[in-house]
Amino acid sequence: MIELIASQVVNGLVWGLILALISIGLTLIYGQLEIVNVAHGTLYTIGAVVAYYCFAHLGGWALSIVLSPLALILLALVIYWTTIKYCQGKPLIVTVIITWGLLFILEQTVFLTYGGVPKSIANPIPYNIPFIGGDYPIYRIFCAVFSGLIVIALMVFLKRTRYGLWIRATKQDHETAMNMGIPVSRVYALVFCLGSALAGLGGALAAPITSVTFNMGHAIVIDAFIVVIMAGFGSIIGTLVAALIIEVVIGVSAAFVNPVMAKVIGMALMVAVLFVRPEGLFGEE
Amino acid sequence: MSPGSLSHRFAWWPLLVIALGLIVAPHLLDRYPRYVLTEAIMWGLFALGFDIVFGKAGLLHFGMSSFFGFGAYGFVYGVKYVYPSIWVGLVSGMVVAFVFSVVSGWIVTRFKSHYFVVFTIVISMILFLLAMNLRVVTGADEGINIRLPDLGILGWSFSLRSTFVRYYLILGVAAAAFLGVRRFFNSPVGRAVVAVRENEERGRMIGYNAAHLKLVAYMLSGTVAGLAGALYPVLNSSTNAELFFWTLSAKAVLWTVVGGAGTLWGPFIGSALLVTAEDIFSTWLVDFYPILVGVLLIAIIQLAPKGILGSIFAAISGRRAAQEAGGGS
Amino acid sequence: MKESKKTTTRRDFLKTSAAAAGALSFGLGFPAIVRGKSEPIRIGSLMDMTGALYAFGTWGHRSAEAAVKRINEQGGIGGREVVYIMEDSATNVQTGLRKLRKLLHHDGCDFILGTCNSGICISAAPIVEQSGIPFFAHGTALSVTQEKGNRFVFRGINNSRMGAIALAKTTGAEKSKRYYALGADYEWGRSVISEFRRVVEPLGGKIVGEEFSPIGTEDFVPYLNKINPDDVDILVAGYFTGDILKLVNQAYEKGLLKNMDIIGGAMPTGISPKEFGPGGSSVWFTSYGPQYVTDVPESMRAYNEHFRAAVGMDNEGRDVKTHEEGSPSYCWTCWEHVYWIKRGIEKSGWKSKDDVGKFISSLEGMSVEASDDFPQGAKTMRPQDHQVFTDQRVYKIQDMKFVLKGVVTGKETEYPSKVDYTKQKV
Repeated sequence: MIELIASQVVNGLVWGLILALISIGLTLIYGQLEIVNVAHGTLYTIGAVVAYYCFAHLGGWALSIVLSPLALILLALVIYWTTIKYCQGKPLIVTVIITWGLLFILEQTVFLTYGGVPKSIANPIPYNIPFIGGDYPIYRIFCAVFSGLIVIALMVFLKRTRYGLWIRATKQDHETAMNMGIPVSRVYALVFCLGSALAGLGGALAAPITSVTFNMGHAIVIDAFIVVIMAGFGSIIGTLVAALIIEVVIGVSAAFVNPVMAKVIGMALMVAVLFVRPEGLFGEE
Repeated sequence: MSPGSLSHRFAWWPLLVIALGLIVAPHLLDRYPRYVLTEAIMWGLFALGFDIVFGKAGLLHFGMSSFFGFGAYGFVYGVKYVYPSIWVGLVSGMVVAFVFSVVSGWIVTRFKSHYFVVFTIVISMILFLLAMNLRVVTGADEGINIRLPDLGILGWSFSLRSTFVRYYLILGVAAAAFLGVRRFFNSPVGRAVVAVRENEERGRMIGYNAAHLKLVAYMLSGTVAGLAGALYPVLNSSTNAELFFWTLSAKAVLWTVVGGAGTLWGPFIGSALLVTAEDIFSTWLVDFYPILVGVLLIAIIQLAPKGILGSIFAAISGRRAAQEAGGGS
Repeated sequence: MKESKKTTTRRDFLKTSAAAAGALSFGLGFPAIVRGKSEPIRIGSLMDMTGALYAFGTWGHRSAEAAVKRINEQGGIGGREVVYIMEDSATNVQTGLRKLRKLLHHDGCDFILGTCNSGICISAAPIVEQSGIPFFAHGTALSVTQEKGNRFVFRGINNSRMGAIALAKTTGAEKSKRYYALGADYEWGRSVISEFRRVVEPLGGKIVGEEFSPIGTEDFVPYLNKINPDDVDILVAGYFTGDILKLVNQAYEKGLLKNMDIIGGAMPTGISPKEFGPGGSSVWFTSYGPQYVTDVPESMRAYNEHFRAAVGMDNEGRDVKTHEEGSPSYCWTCWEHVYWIKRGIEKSGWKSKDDVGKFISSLEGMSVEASDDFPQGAKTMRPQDHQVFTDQRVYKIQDMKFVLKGVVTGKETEYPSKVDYTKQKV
């Protein structure tokens, strides 16, 4: 039993880190632009699709670690200047509907170009390490470590660089920021690109594990929303912690109850957290 | 002045025209458009439930599908196990949805803004997973098929196999619910709900209990959506755990916001428009229609951020205000 | 012949604006369908062209359309032209039921070909009964032709119970075998597993554990962790296309498949065996049709080749043009459904919707031989539950190809029917 719990905890941490990458993208965009991006899951899908093309036609999955975020940045720029820019400052519900329209457009475009059938990517690191309670794939550990490094890099970027400073200043008070000469709209575009790139990178990393389908973003975006809210909107470290907690709890409960109940327990945990701390784990009042 | 209260200033005659139009409509329409109209009225009633809680009380409820699902299963269980009558089914669907709205409303109306949103999403997702899991009760995605009893009205009996009977039953139920809801929002309690949404501090100072008012709006909303759910088996002779899925909640949001939130008419306009548009697009362009629907959504909400009716009302009230100002000077 | 809406519109994208104009005139009502004496026979087709079952829908549509084209080229049915009208169910019950109404009432269809989504098939059953229109379903959950069906519902394809019987026979269920069952938490996933249990337990097989994962599961490792590879010989998996692919890959990466096989419910439509990677060589599938032409006995091969040529599928089961994996295990059903309709009309002398009773009783108990009309092989429509019994094939992946491991005849998969539709009035 101990072995089972240990392996559930490890897998929960690994999967939690991948989920954190996607959720942090979501929370960045919300925290900065005050936009609930319902189409975030589709950006994740597009990241995975790019990874598939890298694997099948460009010589290797590894390229997608660079190409997926890059493709997403380009796409995000287009989306930002055509739609997102115009829904900033509008009521939350309007942003939901506009990004919803985007979701329909993007997903159907993926469907028409990439196709409707699932395709898989061969495991880039096809080795296991022996682990208590069975073998564990090395690739998953690679994903976890890599995601962790990205999160650290992101935090350093926000804390230490000029752009990071601008982002934080704009977030606190965008009018003052504008008066100080910060190019606010460029900062918004940058944050939207950054958030989208994280979703794309998440897609690229998850693709060899989950295989690539045009609607793979549906399930994960809901998990990501739950994580973001449990963490408190806008908090990066909180999002990371919340993603880890929720995945570990679901994994460990799956050792005792059936999978559906495990998922219900994970969600009930979130409700309980919000009951005690309505602002979320790391949210500000 | 909110667009919602403006709609109440309308004279009685537009209401009469609409009522007459809806009574005559099925005789002018062929069978399929008649069916689409029937369905749009049912979905409109469902979205009306959302409009009450969102448009009037200002709570973004993202789990309306639960009420619809409870209403549909309430109907089926009422007809199968309580008494084989459509009326018993409708009442039982409403009661089930009402009970759920009391229980869930008591928990979730304590929370504000996006926490409320998430609570409602999560609760509806848990219910969907359970509905799929408890197949003995719900039949999961295969659902439950039901043989509808005849509709009895004052000793007369009508078979629901007739599309006219189904149309008039659904229209009658929706109209009664709509008029009831309208009346509610003209009552002191209803006005207080809107007042509290517009300015909670001031409402509190006047002596309104904001929490209670929100709960009342929430329960009314859930019951109306549940009633709409109870009409689903009337239309389709079946029910299904898929009705609990979040995409249905999403549609209620889309229909209401596109039609015009807070107008009470808007949800019906939105559902009729979007259901029809999707239906026609998908027959003409099998491959491209989701893209068209997406473009349509973005276009409508950019051109009319208050929704179709909301923007029309706003334009009318703007013109009136201008006229009044001009007359006064 | 009226072409399918799909091809017309693809060619003519400009009609978008016309569609918008149509939307405006929609409220004014469609012109009623005027029916004369020699008017065509209208076959409506509800296919899952978008959404989760897209691969099934696209191929089902191609097959049915090709069958109608062939019939018209040969002079129609009894001299009457056949019109084929397709609508997209979007793999969603609410949309599916609306489109079913459109086919029934707007297009005035005389017969409906069903969808691959059992949920829609079952919800459609009371509606087609009310409308008095025969409905040919190809969802494979058992209950479609048992307690949830009715006299208007037919199914020309095998179901989940027959699949379980075929798999158990081919993989050698016996006393020593220990099974672990993992399925998706929806009706089809559950029915695969409950049917398998029903078959192997009387044979002495032991099911040591059973779990159902919620819809939308991306990571199966938390559930795979619970399986002790030393205790289990076979993992029974109630998953469809994309999910079975994920499950096999993740089980392989976890090192579970060294001494364990996976029994998958149904042939993964649209997915090439290559996608399964090295883990694929442990997976068994049941298939309702031959994957490769060479899997067909020589006496029947010509029929299958003819069918594939008409549909645009090569002898390997791929699309002739795009070389993407097709749906040889399912899509023949839609072709044959059209021919069931043709045979029923010819035998009963059906003239209009009023003759539906004659049409239905003429199909009950009808047997057909392998032919160009029925390329999958001989079969019989059981009168009590309108279920077809026919050969099934069991495949395993070897060297990145599906390899035929056994053929189980329709007779071997027979089970007693709990219902008797012939007693229902039309």
